[in-house]
Amino acid sequence: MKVKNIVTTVVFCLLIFGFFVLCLLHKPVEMSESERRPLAQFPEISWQGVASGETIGDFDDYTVDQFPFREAFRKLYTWYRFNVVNIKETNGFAEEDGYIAKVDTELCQPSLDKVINKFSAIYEQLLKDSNGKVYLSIIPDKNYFFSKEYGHLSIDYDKLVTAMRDGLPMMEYIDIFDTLALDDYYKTDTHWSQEKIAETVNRIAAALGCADRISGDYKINTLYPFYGVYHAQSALDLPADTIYYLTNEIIDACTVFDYETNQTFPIYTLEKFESKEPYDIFLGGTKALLRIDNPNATEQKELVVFRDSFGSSLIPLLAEGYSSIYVVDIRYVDSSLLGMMGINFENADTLFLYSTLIINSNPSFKEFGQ
Amino acid sequence: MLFSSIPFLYYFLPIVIALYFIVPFKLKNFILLISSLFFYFYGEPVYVILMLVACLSSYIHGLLIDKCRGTKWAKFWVGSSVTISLLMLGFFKYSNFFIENVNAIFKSDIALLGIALPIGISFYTFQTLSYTIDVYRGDAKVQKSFVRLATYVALFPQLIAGPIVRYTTVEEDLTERKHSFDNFGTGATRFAIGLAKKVLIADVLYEFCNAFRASDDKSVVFYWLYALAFSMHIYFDFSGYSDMAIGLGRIFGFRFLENFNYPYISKTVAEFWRRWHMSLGTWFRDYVYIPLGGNRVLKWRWLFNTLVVWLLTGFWHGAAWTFIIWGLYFALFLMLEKFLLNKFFEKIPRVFSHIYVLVAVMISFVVFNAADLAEALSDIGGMFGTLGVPLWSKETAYYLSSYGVVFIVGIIGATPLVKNAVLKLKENKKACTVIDVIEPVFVAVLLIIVTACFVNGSFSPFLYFRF
Repeated sequence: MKVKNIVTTVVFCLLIFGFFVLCLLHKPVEMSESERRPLAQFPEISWQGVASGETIGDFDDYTVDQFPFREAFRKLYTWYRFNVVNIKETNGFAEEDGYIAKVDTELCQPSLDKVINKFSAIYEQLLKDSNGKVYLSIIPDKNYFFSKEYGHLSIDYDKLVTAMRDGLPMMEYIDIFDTLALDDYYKTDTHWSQEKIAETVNRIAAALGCADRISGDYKINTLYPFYGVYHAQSALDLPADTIYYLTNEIIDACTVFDYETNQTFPIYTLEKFESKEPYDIFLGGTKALLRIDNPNATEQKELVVFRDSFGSSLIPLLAEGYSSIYVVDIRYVDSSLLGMMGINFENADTLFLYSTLIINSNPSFKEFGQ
Repeated sequence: MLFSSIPFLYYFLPIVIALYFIVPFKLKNFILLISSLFFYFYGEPVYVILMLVACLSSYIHGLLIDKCRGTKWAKFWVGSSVTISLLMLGFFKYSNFFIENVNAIFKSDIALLGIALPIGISFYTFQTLSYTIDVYRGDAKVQKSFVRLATYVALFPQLIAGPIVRYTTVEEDLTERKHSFDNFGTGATRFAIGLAKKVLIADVLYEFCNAFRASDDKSVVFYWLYALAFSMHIYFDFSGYSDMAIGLGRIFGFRFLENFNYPYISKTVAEFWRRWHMSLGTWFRDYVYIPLGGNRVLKWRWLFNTLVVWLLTGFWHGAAWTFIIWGLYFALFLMLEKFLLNKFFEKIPRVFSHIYVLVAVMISFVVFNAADLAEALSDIGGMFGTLGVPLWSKETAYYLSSYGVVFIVGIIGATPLVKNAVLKLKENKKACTVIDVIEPVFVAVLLIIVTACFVNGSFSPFLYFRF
């Protein structure tokens, strides 16, 4: 009898029996903070469920989701893939020099069509007969720069922009691609960093005709540590980012009215930095319909911005140029109801400001009754 | 239930091992049988009845054949057993294929049967067939204990993806087998290596294949890399499963025969098939090819025998024309080798015959993995530059650099290089001691990394389940 085989037997049994006991003792967790999703729970057992295989499938999910030291194992998996076998992507994420990017390679034409149709419908319904101008600006997601810098794959951004411009000829296009670079984005998050987008703001402001009303003088404030959404999702063990936010007297004086809750709050809700979504400090995070009021406006000009989360950090920097900015996220509010909510499109300019990430991801738009 | 899953590794296996080693020997087969039925029930709740019917049929037929030995009834009962087994296999596996073809030929509209393929039916049907035929031939003694026979048929290590274990291989083990740390330790090591082959190599290579399929930037080289990736994937997937089966069997005291012997080092296609899925090859040899007359017949009859065996081999792998073509493709190579190529290969350097086998096998697996004949022809066309794709592309470079390490590990792992190196090192006493120390650590590390893959939810079903 070989000692080696005794040791192997003991090691093997320790592992399978050890984890068996740990699995039994493990207290089920409801949510995965890192993946921001509910975890599978022990299934209800019924004869019907067992016979159909549904209960067994649910149990499989439960054992994976509730495995002891799950986060540590996820990190080990990612480490193994990136550092041992040198695979460039894991769970759709790539990492280079501390930058984490979500690698998307497939241009989703149905998604583009859906977005174009939705924007066109809004234009026809609300904007066509107004006196204001309508603008479109597309924000390149981080992978646009990441793929160029490090040789990773990406979607065909030129094709996406061309399709959007061709599909929405009634909108004046503001090209901001050349105002940005990879280091303008957080390393661990999908978003851009506010203190890096001055050139982008200037480009948009110039197109909107409000550049002369924007001072560009800001105090740079920081919050640390900021672990972006990619940090936890990718299970990569990387250093935290710092959130930068810009203030001046005018921005500080602005107020944000939330139509959903009828509450008013400042541009930056700093207490949200401690929440699960630290990026929510900008305009309170995910909100269906907001109005930013600038009491120090030099002109009574209004702007309506249809936007995604990238807009949350850019729009505050346009606030100086307007008396009011309406901030609309049509993923959470039915656009057909906007007219009834007191938004005056008659003399306001309108900006559609969306990232390629959203445009290509088949977003669901809120419809009446949902 | 999948071996490469948390429910198996950290729930089912520890419970079964604990129960198995606690109970006295006379109850061990019963524990294995109950565990195996639960194992099957977990994946196929309803079809466990089918499994029991198969066990009962072969058990009763075995008794009847034995009782009527020497009379014409013995032949009748073996015929009955074979007919029932093949009808079950035919109904559940091939009905829809025949209906589809009848509909296509006669423009009819016969509805397909709404039945799922019972997991592992091809494997356990061939096992039950071998049992009753061997009893009829007098190669195996009849098994009078239903529990023992059902344990043989349903034994979970080899139940759903082989190897096809002959009754005669485990006949003695079913009655009396040895349990020891040596058996357990070597079995656990073999199981861990098989699991790692499946999860850390085969599944990752399959990712490459999926990336190839999704790519809009294919190239000739990309097509060849796909062929290579899939060929290695199927080898590590299937041989990994066989390793796990053999390892688990060893833990419980059974000794299954090897199913793979480094097939990619072969110098002829005939040799490839002596090294690939050996349990299936020998099954067809012993129960189809030799009864048809084997090779001790006239040339035309040998051609016929070869065609029949390889048509059946292809059809066994799946109810689709791609599998039939795949089987006949190998028949063609075996004929070419016998009459032409073998003489030629004797005169040229061995490296060329290796390349010939690799290319022939890679093309075969492109056909094997194609959804239909059109896709198979398209993929082969891509490999030979007839689709108008460039020789090289950006995505080819990207995916090659991304999966390059796994390709290298796979290529080395498909040869006996590592095994031979370890054996050579073991000749040195000090090196042998070091290896003995490293081995348990290696097993633990593999299990931990594989567990990390499970937790990430990256497991995928074994390809051979569909057979």
